[in-house]
Amino acid sequence: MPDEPPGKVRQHPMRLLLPTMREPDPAQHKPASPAEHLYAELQVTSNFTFLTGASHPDELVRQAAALGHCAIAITDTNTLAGVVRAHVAAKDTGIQLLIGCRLVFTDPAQPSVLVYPTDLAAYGRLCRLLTVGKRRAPKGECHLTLDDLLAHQQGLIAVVLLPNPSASTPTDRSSARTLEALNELRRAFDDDRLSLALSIHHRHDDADRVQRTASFGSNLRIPLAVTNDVHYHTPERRTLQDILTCIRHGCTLEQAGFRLHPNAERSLKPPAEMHRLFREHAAALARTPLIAQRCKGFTLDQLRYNYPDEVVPPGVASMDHLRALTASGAAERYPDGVPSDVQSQINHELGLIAELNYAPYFLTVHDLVRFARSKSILCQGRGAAANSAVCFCLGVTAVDPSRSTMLFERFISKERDEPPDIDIDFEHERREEVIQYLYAKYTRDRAALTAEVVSYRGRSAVRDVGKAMGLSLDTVDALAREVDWWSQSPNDPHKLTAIGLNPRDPHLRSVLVHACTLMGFPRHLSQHVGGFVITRTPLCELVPIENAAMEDRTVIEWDKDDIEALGMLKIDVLGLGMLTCLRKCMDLIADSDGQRLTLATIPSEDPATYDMICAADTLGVFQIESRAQMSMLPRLRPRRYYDLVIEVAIVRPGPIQGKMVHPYIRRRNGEEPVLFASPEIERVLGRTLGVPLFQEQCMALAVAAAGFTPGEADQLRRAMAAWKRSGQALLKFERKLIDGMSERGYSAEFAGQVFQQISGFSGYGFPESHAASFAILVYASCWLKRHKPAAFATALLNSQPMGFYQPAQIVQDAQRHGVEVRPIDVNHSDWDCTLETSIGEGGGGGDAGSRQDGERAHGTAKHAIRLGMRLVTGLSEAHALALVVAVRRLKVSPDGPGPVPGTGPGPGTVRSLEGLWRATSDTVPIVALRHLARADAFGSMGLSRQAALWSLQRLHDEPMPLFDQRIDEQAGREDRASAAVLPLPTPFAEVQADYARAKLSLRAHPLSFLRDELEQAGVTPCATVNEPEQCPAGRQVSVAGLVLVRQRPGTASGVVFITIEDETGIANLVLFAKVFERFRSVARHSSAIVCTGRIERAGQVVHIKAQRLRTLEMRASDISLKSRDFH
Amino acid sequence: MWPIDRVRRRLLHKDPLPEALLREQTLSRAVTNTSLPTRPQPTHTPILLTHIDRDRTLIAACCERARSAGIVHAMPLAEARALLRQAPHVEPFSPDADARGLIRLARWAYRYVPRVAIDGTDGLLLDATGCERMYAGIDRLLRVLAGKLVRAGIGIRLAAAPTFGAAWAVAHFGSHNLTLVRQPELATVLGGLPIAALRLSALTLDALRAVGVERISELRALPRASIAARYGSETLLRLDQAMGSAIESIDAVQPKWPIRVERLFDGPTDRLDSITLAANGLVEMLATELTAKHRGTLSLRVELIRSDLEPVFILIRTSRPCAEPRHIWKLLAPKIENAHLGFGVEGVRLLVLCSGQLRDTQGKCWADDEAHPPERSRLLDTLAARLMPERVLRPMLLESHVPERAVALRPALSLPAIAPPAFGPTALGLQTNKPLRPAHHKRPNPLSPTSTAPGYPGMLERPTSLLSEPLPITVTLLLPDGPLVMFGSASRGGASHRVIACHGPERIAGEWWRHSASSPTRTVTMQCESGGAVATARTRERDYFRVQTDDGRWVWIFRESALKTQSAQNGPAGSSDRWFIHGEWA
Repeated sequence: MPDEPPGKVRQHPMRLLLPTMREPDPAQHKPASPAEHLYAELQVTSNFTFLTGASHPDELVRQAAALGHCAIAITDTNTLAGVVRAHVAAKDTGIQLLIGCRLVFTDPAQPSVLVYPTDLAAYGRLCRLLTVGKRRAPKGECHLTLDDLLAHQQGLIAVVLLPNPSASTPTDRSSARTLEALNELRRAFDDDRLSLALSIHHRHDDADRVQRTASFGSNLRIPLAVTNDVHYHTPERRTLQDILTCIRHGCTLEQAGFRLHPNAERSLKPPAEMHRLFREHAAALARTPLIAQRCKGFTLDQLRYNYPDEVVPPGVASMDHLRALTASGAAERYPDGVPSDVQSQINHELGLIAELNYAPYFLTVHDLVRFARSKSILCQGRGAAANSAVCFCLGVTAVDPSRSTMLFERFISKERDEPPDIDIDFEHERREEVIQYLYAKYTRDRAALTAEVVSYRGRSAVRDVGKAMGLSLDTVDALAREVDWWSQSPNDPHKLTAIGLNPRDPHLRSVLVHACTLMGFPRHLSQHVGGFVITRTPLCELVPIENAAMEDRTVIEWDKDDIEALGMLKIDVLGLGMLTCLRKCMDLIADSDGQRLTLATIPSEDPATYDMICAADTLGVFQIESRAQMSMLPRLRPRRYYDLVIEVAIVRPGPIQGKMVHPYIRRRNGEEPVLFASPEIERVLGRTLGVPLFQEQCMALAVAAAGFTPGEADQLRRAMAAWKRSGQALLKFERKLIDGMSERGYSAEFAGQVFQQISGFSGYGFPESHAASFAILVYASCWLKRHKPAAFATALLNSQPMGFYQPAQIVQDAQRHGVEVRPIDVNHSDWDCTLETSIGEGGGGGDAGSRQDGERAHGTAKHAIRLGMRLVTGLSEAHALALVVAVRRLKVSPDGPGPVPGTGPGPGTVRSLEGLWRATSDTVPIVALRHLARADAFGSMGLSRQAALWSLQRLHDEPMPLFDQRIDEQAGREDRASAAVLPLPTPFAEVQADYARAKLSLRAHPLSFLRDELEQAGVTPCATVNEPEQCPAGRQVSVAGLVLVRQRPGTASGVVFITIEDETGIANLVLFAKVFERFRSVARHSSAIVCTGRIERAGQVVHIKAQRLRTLEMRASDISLKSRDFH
Repeated sequence: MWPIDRVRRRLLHKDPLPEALLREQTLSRAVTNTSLPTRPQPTHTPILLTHIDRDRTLIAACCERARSAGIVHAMPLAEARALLRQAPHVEPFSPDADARGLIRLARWAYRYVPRVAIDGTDGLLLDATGCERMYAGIDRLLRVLAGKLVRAGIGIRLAAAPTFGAAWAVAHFGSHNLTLVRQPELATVLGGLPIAALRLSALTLDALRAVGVERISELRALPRASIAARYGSETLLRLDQAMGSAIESIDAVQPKWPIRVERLFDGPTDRLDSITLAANGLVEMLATELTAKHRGTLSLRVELIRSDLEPVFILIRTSRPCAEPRHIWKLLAPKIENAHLGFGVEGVRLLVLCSGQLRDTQGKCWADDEAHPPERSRLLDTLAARLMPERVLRPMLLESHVPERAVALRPALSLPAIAPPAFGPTALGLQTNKPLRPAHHKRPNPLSPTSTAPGYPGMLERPTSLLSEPLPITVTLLLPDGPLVMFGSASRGGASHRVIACHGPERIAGEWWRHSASSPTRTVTMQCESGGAVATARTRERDYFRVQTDDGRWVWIFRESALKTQSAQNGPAGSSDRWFIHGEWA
């Protein structure tokens, strides 16, 4: 039901989880060690070296700070992906963080090198070096050589890791090459910047290794530096590290053998312990703080984000340019003069933009929108900043500030220095053009997509841990499937017992404990759906850029939280199917009626459109087409734009779980008084009748009623988003909220209620700013459906797959609204569905209800939908287009194959199958024609499906040597003669064949053939269920139908909603979890079902509460096609 | 469902499939009265066969009971389990084993008809031409076959018809489990069946159904030329084969007869020498027969048929295919000598239960190159024959950081050949090293520098011999955490050793995932436990030191202490530390 809100509602929980869950207990640790025990850990592998490090970067940093290290480096293998998280933690704790990286070269003989930049320029070079390595490798890999490092070495400090001699027996050859590499490094980095890593891990060969390293150092005159090759922040994580090693190698712990580390020594050790271990290597110890000291010249805070400047004409200040564009845009939007309140809002916004220096950002967005317009790609911005008056003038959004009564409170928040937030939706089929435009305009060095850190979630974690710990695949399956990983206690003994596992089994408990720790570990980097980072200076000097799995995409290593932490800006370039549909629809209208509509010119606040919405006649429109939305519409009865904004936001898990839906409806219908506890609250909740429905309102409520600072309110928002992963974070705010409210004189009861509402938003709350943009599209699609039903249905069919409904329902819906739908036909169909002028008046228009008829009569010309070949299963677009071209050529060419006498129904059509086949045999395989024949697309040639297939079956891809009309004619006679022997298909079989090939039939509904049979079985038609006289609430009925939609909303505690359809209409089934479990296979797999249950009514909404289900056998004939099983 | 039937039979009788059927005619008098088991008890356990597809365990086949519970093909196993009230029997679907079983069933069928062929994965084609007389009518043959198979627990659909095609069609699509179609009614019966009964390709079937042709009669009504032009000549051929107007040949399974030799005496004898002589002669005969077939015996059953008593069965197993009479005799002779002859032996029979392809060998010249030379396998065979196979063990390398886990003893006959150094006289339990303490026997250590098996870190420093159980010692340290000065036996005082050199520590933390209690959910089996320190390995770690005593011996001692957690990391060696000696370098 509540579909996931598109866009950016989910927040990365990482920073949020930190203070509550992972803070090391200070009591455990000794205070910072005395000055003589100076030590900085230089070799640290975090979990961003995927499946190797067993601690989060921030855990490592916090632990190092707690142990009293003077500094810590994060050196993941060939990546900087984890450094921002470490940086944030380091800023919190005050420890110095060395940004670093462990460079592993493709040549195994070249020793790995740890590098640390000493200044901003060196950091830029390091990023560039990694970018070079990553761009030449497939996704997730980095191919580097020593020469690459030498080319970028300036300003870097390096620590060389000698290859482990015991890993493989060192041959003379490989050690000679190691020596050579060391010499080269020494030449490039003089001994001042180069060190040799010295570590002791209590392995059997420690003495040898230390000896060997020391002798290398003294022979080559490279000073030593102590490291501990840290893989986890406490020794307790060793077990998890072992598991990670197993996951990496795809083995179990039993099989892992020597791939595991023998002991737990790779943790962060207290400086005193390091000094004790290396008491004989004082110089090597002393070198670590020295290196840290020299890297003090660089922190991530120095990174400066620069807006691109191409968007400003040379010699013009960006702010002036923005002012000019806004002014000209405003003049265009308001030809009669800009209203004064809009003008004052524009001035206010421009002032803010100037103050915060965001002009280049708005200009960049404007440039993107301008490009899309020039390619006639439909787009619309959303988000708080997008719904500003400036953006309306710039054409970014169609939300007219003068038309709506909304207050945009969160345009840009000055106090929080929060960057403006604009997501732009483009047509989903053409978003790639926009993305490639960005890459082309700003080059790949300066523009890249944001990464998305794909992390272990409950199921994936238990799956991998379970496998590594040797659980059987079934057990792992059962654990992953049955255990509710989001609940507060995933290892609830009752649940384990329920799936047949022993909760006291130590091994199983160990699996669960490790799985819980693994949750949140990064697994790999993926690309964000559309977040672009664009810079003026090379982006690859800010952050390494790598190839994405998709071709032609490049991605930075940081995710949106990371770049937000560093104050970098991103623009979300998203794809939206409805925009594609709207554009296609407006194009169709322009072609057929000559009327050019845009989102802004669609007549606003049209009562007929709202009538249709109130009647829940919204199949196919944007957002409010789902079951849940449709059942809400008659209750909410939207009559104006803002009602749609609410409608979009209200049917979401957030408001539903916060139990805000019913209070709102009651207040709206006047069944409950609208009361406000105080004027502050009325200011916040006034327009939603005192019920918080939007995410912004929750935050504003916290500020207004509980005295939160805007910063705290923002944390609250993040806590709400991340609640499922860390309930504790939200609980922390509960105290504060309730205390704050009682201080301000609100009753404790009211405070509890407010908190209840806010925590309800933890699922998904929908921001008002996004709902406002969506509501525009909702209105536009409804208007088109109401006034241009043929064009709208055609555009919808051409934008599939999209939305909730199948082509069959869209077509039926169009037919119900009096639109003539014509079958697929080789002579008339294009690839896409098209509009044809309707010849007859009748055409089934009479049944569509009175209100449409009256209006359509004096409307524009009536159109019929010609179904396109895209509906034919198995047919490729290229073949269809070739066929369309050939048909057009044959129609005009005078010397085309002559008509077969007596069959063709009219002029201007191709009438011979052979002729078509000959004309297309080099471009279209016979299979494509057969696909069309199965879809019964040769009607205009006078061929039935059967006849066309029968004739086509004779033809093959090898062309006949000669064109001889007599042979063709003879063959045609033979075809007709032999086809006469074929058994005649029943109408039911024809309909089934239609469904098999085009997923719809214009003949009849398949269930109409079974009606007699069904009536005998006591099955009620779906339409009858809606009539209260015949089917009062509580009566037991049976209904049958094809399954249209199955939904199992996360908020409905296992309840499954199924919509079925018969020839009379649709029926809505509700399956409670028990019923669903009992009839699981029917409920999940059958395409046609018979359901027995009780009728439930709530207003106009009718459900059938299912009690029993069975599969409806849809047999065309009595013959069994399946072989019997041997039994 | 052939796969299910096969598995169910195995579960019920613990007998590989047609073995029970085979036994009936080929075994000796003494067992002939072991009648076939009557109709198998329907097991109450549902049977599920699974295969693994991209990390998911899916149902490949299931029994009737399971199907009636709603289990379908390709359903995930966990879901299937949820549908069943009781725990099912689950095992991996094995098409290979099914195919092998089917071949054996085909060979069994040779006793009724002259030619048998395999059809697909679950069918047999029997050519019963000319058998009518023998069984007084084909219908009787059908009943005989059906009776045998049903009693053997094999679900069947049997059909006999004038053509293979028609028999196949009726068996698969007919309405009865047992059908006999005679020539006159052939066309009528076939006509009513769906076209799928013609064994046509899915593509052709689909194309035919598309134009509305569903039944064979409808297909036959079409002009033959039109069919050929549209659906290929194969369609016509299949039609003709079913109707009998085209010949169909089958690819018959080769019958296979057991390799066996026997000799029956004129009357019972209790003279060992004549029995031995006969047996020896039979071994020679068997060897000749085996060599001719280029096979060697792996498992050989020798039966001494005794009068008025059950036969004596002697089982001879070899580690590799063997056709050498001398070697076989060497294994067999002592057993015959020990056999109880009862009232006398009437005959001797040798039956090869399991054989393998003989491998050509190069004779003496390069014999040394072989990892597993014939001499050694002969020795192994002899030892196994004398000592029982499970008593002949061989040390195996295991990958583990914990020293006592790095080696395990496994039955030698069941292991593949491995590199020589790990194999020696010690493998048989003989001791070569002088023990440090007589009370404890030592195991050779494959991880010592002498063993360089591939895949193992060659530099691991391990003593040449390891105590099977670490021996507690007392130590004297200079400081609580300082160098080691002296150690001595904890139990018997006295003899203490001064340390003159010490290397280490090498820290080995326990294998934390081994819990003392094993749980039913685990599939990993515990390695055989030895050594007292193991139970505590989970929470403790050991620091190993290589120390030289004042009398020049290098010994391996370790300190066991609680695993250092963060809180205790910086602390000195705790009082809970215990010291042990674990091995010595020779």
